[in-house]
Amino acid sequence: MTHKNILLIDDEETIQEVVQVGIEIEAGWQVAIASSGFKGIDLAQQQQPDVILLDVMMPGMDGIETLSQLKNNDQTSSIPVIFLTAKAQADEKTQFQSLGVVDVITKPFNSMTLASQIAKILGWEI
Amino acid sequence: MKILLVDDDLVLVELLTKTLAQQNYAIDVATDGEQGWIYGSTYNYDLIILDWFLPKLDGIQLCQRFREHNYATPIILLTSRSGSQNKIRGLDAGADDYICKPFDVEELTARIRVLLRRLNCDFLPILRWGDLELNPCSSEIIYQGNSLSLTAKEYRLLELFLRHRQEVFSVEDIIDRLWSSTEYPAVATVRSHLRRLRQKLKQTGFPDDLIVTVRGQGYCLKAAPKVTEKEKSIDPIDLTAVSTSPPLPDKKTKHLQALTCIWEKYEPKREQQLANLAQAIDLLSADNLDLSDRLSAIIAAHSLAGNLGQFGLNLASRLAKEIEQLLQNYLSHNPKQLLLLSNNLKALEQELASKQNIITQIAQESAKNSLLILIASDDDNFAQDLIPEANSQGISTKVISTPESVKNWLEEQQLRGKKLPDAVLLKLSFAENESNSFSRQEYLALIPEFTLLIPSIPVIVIADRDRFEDRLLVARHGGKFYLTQPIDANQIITVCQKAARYSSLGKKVMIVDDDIELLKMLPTLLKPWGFELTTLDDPRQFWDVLQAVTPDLLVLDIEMPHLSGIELCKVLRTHPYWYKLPVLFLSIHQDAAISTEVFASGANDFVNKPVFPQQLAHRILHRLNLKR
Repeated sequence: MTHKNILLIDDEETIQEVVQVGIEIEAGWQVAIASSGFKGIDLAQQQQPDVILLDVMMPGMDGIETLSQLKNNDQTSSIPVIFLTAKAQADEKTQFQSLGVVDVITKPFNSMTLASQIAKILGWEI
Repeated sequence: MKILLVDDDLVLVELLTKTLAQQNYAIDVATDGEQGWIYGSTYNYDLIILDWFLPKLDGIQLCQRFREHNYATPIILLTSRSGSQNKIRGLDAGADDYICKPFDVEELTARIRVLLRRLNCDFLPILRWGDLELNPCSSEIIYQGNSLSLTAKEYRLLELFLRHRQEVFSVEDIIDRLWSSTEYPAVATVRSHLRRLRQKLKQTGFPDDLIVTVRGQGYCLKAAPKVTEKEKSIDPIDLTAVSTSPPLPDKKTKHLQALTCIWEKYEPKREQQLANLAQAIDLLSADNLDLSDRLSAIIAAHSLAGNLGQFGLNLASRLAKEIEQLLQNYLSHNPKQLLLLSNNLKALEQELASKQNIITQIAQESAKNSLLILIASDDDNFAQDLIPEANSQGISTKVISTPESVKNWLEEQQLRGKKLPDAVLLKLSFAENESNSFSRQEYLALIPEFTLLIPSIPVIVIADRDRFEDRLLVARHGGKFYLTQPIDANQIITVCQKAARYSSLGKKVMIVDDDIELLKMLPTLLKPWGFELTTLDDPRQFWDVLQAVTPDLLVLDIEMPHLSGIELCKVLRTHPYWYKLPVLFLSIHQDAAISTEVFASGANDFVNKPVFPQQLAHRILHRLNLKR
């Protein structure tokens, strides 16, 4: 797989580490972590990641609000965003996609296949 | 542990009943196949021993009937019929082990222990809880180096709890598991055995009660104390037993090790979250929980639900989710809801006592994922060159130097249900030499032993010359690859990895067909190949299921209500990722126009109904291999 930079925005430390381990070991991509929506927007502007994995349920600024700010910012609007959420009913998924996320990955996810799941969504070569 | 013995040889029955009872097993005896079925389908057994020749219903038919009705209980076939074909027939009927009469009773009891260990994923022969050890081979119990004397019933109780660490047993469950169906102990009798076991443990110096009472539900084993460094270093996987050279950690092993570390690292946080929940429930029952504490408790429950689910603890995750919802919906003092909250928290704490099992599960996954190559060669130097190269790529090796030993090893692995190799390397000499000829024939005869298995194991021949007639000979025996020396170790290992990937094991196949009967049948028919099958009878759910399953291959029916297979295939081919997914069509139609339309939609293959499992499995495998 070609090298990619991933930004994960999630307040849960365990999930942060599981995602990081899964992606770095399985695909060798670099994972930057932000534990809140504010920090995530800041990091996205600075690092211009290839994709943002965004948790929906976060204290303070939630995933929906973070997504809205990312999409209204010229520097980050074109970065693909994938929602990471325990809520992924079909109707919610359609609703999320209408907000501008490319897809939704449901928690719990398989950290062994997370990188290939992201690659499939974005049409990256695996 | 409770065993059902189905045999009409009364002398043997008496001998086995006596021997197994001495080893603390509870035994039920049935003397014909139909009686065996009635017992097996009425009571819970940990293991079933079947004779092949039985009145009314023979052992093979009885075994098949248990499996057809989804009974997963380990079965040992005990019979005077020897020979590979009979063994294969017995094992294919669903038996887990096969023992020929006359047999050594000690071997039978050892095989019973192996199957019981596998049943509960206890890979170590000794059951441990902190400093307490129970050795099922000698029926001995040791605590901190001192032997502990228990009655047969007390021993069985302790073994039951140690083997089922996460389960809560009611008194009725305990009777069902530990007493034969001809005994009817009173509830008070069972409680009395439990009380005496607890007292004896306490007298031996146990700091607290090993068996915990779960109010309203029964009894369960207390969470085990922290694992010591020494215990952590024990490899719970039996894989190294077949490997002369344990591999260096590969990617998956590294991944699983990292996950284990994360699980351990956040243990104090989980404990804190559980303590917060317990405190919140106490305050709630005193009507004294303020909004901020309630919010913290809801966040703790939410976090636990997410994290536990991430580590595969689905029941614990669900319990945490229920606690979260109960806390969110709690309006005013409600004793019923309080009781529910408290019970859920207790159940969650017990579920979390499975910390050690998580590590075992993770390690099991690791062993499952690492490749094993069997090197069949009498050339020591050849093997010695390959082993370090294999190990450096996370591959285990087993070296065997004679064809006869290879056959014996394979038979033993199959009988014991141990890991079979993912690929076999066979070094052959074709040089014109009379003394070589016999040995060459013997090695060539090994090839079908592996390639005719279901799923088949690829054999790679390393030959000393490159001639068409030699290649033809190897191909006729079923060899997958023919490599010629000189060739370096790295190239050989790369070919082995490639060959092993041809295996059907774990390949995800999704089948969309509105024929529900066929969908019910296919998983059973294709089971021997080890595919991970997902079946779908409603094509309207196709896209969601496809994204969730991410199959390696798709099987589509042509005519289905709402959406045809051809339409689904066309949709699939519009997506850049699914563009290359192998698609195989199933249909009763055989006319050229339909087959042209099918291939024009982007199909890779077309199989006519009725479906022949072997043919379908090979067509699936062929398509999967072409994709690589």
